Amino acid sequence: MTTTGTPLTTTTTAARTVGLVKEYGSGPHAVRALDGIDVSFGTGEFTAIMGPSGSGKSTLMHLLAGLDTATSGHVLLGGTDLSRMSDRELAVLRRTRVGFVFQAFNLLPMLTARQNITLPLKLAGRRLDHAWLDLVTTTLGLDERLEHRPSELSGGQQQRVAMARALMTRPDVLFADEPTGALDSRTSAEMLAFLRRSVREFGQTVVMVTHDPGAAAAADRVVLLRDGRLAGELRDPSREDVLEAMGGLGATA
Amino acid sequence: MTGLTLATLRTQARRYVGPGLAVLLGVAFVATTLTLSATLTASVRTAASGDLGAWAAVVSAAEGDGPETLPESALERVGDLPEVGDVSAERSGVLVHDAVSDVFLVTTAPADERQLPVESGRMPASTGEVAVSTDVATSLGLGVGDRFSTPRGGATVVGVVDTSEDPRATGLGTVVATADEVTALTGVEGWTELRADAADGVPDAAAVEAVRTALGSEATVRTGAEAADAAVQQMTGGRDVLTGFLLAFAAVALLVSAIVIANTFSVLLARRARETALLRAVGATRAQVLRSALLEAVVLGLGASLVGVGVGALAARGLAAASSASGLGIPLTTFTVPLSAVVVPTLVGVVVTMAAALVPVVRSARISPMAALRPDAAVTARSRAGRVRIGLGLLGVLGGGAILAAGATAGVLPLGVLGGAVSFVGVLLAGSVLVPAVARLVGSMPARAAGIPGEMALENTVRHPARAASTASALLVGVTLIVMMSVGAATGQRSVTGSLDDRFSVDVAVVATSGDLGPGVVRQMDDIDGVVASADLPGVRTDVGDVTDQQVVGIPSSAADVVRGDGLGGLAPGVLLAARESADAAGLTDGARTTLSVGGHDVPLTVRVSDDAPVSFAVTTEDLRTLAPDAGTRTVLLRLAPDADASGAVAQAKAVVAGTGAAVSGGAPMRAQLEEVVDTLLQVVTALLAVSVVIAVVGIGTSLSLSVIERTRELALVRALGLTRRQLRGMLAGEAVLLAVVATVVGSVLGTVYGLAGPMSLFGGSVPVVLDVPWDRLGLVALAAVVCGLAASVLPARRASRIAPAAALADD
Ligand SMILES: Nc1ncnc2c1ncn2[C@@H]1O[C@H](COP(=O)(O)OP(=O)(O)O)[C@@H](O)[C@H]1O
Ligand SMILES: [Mg+2]
Repeated sequence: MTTTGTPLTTTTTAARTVGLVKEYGSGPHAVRALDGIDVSFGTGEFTAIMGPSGSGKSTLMHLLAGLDTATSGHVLLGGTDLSRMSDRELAVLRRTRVGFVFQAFNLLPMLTARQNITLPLKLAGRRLDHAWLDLVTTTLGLDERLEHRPSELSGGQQQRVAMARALMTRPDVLFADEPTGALDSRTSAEMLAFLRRSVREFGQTVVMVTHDPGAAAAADRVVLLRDGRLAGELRDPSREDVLEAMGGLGATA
Repeated sequence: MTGLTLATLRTQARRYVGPGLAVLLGVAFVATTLTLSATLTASVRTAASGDLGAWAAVVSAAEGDGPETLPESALERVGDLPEVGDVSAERSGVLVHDAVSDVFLVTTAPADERQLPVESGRMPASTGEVAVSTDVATSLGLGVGDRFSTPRGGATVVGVVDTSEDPRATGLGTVVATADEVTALTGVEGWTELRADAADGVPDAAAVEAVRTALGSEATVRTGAEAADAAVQQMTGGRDVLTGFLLAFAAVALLVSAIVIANTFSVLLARRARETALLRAVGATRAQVLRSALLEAVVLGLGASLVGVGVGALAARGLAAASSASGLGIPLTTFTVPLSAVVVPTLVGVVVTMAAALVPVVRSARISPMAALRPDAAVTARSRAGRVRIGLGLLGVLGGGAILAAGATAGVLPLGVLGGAVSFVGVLLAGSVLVPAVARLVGSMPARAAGIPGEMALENTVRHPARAASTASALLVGVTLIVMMSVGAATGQRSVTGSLDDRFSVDVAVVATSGDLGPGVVRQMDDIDGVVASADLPGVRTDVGDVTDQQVVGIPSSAADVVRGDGLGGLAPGVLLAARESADAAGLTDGARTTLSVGGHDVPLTVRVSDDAPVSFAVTTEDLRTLAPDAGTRTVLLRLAPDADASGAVAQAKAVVAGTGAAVSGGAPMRAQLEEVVDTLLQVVTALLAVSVVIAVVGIGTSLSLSVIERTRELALVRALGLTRRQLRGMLAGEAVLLAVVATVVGSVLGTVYGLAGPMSLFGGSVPVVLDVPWDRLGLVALAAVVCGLAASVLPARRASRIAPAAALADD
């Protein structure tokens, strides 16, 4: 079941969507947030999702991570079809096979950094791999801060704790929804560097939603969304490529 | 600001359901009590005064040192007055029937015979005849044609009457007889009461005046209405005690409601702290904020109280109907909801709500406008007021504990009560330290066993010490009182029965009232569970001293194993052992000489009066055989094992002699009666305290619901991280059960201490107190607490499991 540690140059698919549609509400007031998305994310690849506000980026991420269920179409994680899973199975999937970092409020305030990081393992009833914990926390520069509670940590540190937690279960895919959105530019650059390192050093598949062209430029690939549909993609883009593509989306929006 | 208050109430209506329900239940309790009390008064008037109010004049003997009855001639003197029409005379007295140690009312039949319907047979028509009430018939095993025998002689039972409609009969078995027979049975002469109607065309007042003049100072003459009032007054003395008793429990329920309200308001207002700060920032004055929040409390209190009054009236109506249907006590037929039963509970509800909300409201009004601008840093630092509270609480626990200990060892009840109250308030004040500590103590092991949801439940509980404390306190009140009552009753009962055993020289005495106890009866008595020794006493009926037809029994040597202590001390050949009351009635004194004779056999005896004698009159078996060679067994004495079930043994003994007229007495029936009274009282008290437990459970549910709303993002996050719905529900159930268990553990410890200290303070060394913890009841309380906790978590858990995992990502 585990796909971590596979070579970077693999062509296998970590996650894929087929004709994915998500509607909020029903009847005349229904909002079609995703309108038939077919996209795949390669194992060990760092993908950025971009698009104007309201284009469906977060919705796509929720469906990929098993946080919400599709109206129609399929989400495939490895070989499993999420659209057929019960609430319980999805919960189990979330704690074993995916990891997330949200824009804000990632941590439980009453738990220490260490407890937050190991929470998904505890939920899954899995043994803690101490070597892995040491490696991840050292890499993220958290080893001194493990016994602190979130209120005693800076915003950047909190996001790194969230990332460490997401990496702890060696998930198939790590999802991040605007992980740098609430951070200043220096901290945000650090955060991106850590994301890249996790892709390089741990072979982690990462899918990240972002508004920041600089952040997107750090990715291997950029997927563009508009009005719930795919609107093109870029490979190994530069900051300028991203800006130009975004401009194109805005012009035609 | 009023608009804002109402808008808040409307949008947050669901959050007020819990505190509203708490007020509602407390107010309903008060309303039920007041309504029932009014209904009881009205019904008592009907029951107590009967047709008294319909008579023009009611005459009784003048109060004071004179004779207690009117002279025989009064009837004629009143009847002959031209202003007076019908006259009815009553002669009644009290008869102590020593065979069953019961007191009977012996009276003439009332003028209106409908008050005393005849169930079988007929009313007595001449001397030597009586009719008995159904309860007398049952307790003595009498039927029509049987002989009703008493120390003063006997009469033939010619009828059985139903006294449930007779106001005079409350609580006493009734024997109806002609006036002469009343005198024969009770020694009462003259008239107890005369009732007179005015003659045709004569105003009542003129008749009253005429009777007054005719009888002069020897009589008290009242109008019928005055007499009816007096009768009600006499009977409602007990009713006021009952109302007070019920209101005390209503007060407990209201106290618990107040804790729940205070808790809810502090959570709600804390949650709104930023809004409040914003209001202050845009220019609202402190007074405006205060008024707005208080208005919220008033609206809530008023609304809930009005509904509570309605619920209370309905409950009272249901209880009145149920009590009438059960045929116990006075039928509550005159249902009345007085204005006071509407106004008083409503006011009480509003005032309690406002008072409970005051502290959180004042605290919220103190919020600085700056708080709106600060990032939402955790404001968990303990305030100085909090530390003072905890300090006071610890002081209360220690000081109250010391006072309690002093009261218990010295046997001073007021000191014990004071110490108990002070220490309990101390525990409530120090709750924010105590509750989390106990939660860790009792919670860690099961929490770890229950895995992550368990651990999180424990963490969540301990994280808000103040809230956990006040939520648990609400339940603590009820549990402590219930456990205190249970332990106190068991301990008191055990201690008293211990001393009862010492005081009564026999456990069970079965005494025939007519004829012999057959050999079958004697044999069956030996087989009763718990009987370790028995003695069969032959006996005869004969005249003793001044009284006729007394039972005299012969005591065999085997009785030494049955009779405890000095009961048979002084009995020897040639001695007549007499119980003190019986000796007095017979006019015999210690050392007097008397002769008993039966069928031509005479036995001269020396009287020995004893305080501990198990029977009225006793001689040795040898002397009895001389007196009556063929005497059959008249009395069986039984000794029970120390741990025997006294109630069970008494019930079995009664079953064996049922219908034979034999009476069962001694220490065991006394003990059984005590047990029954205590058990009934305990059940009533527990039922009354259950109301406050229900309110506390509503409080736990409310607190949990609010914390679910507060923690929406947190709960969504753990769901996103893979906590299943079931685990989430388990976590919330764990939080509720943990609080319930903490309240139960602390309440049981406190209740046991108070339950031991209570009897100690009460008896003050006159009775050695033996602690008796009724584990089964305590277990039941603990089980109920866990079930209540689970029940309280159902709604909050359902709400929590509806939170979408994706909600954690929502911006706010
Ligand atoms: N829970 C929801 N209920 C209703 N509509 C929603 C919900 N979440 C998102 N939407 C709508 O779906 C569309 C896509 O939203 P989202 O995926 O959050 O966009 P993005 O993250 O790209 O800004 C928007 O029009 C948004 O208003
Ligand atoms: Mg978004």
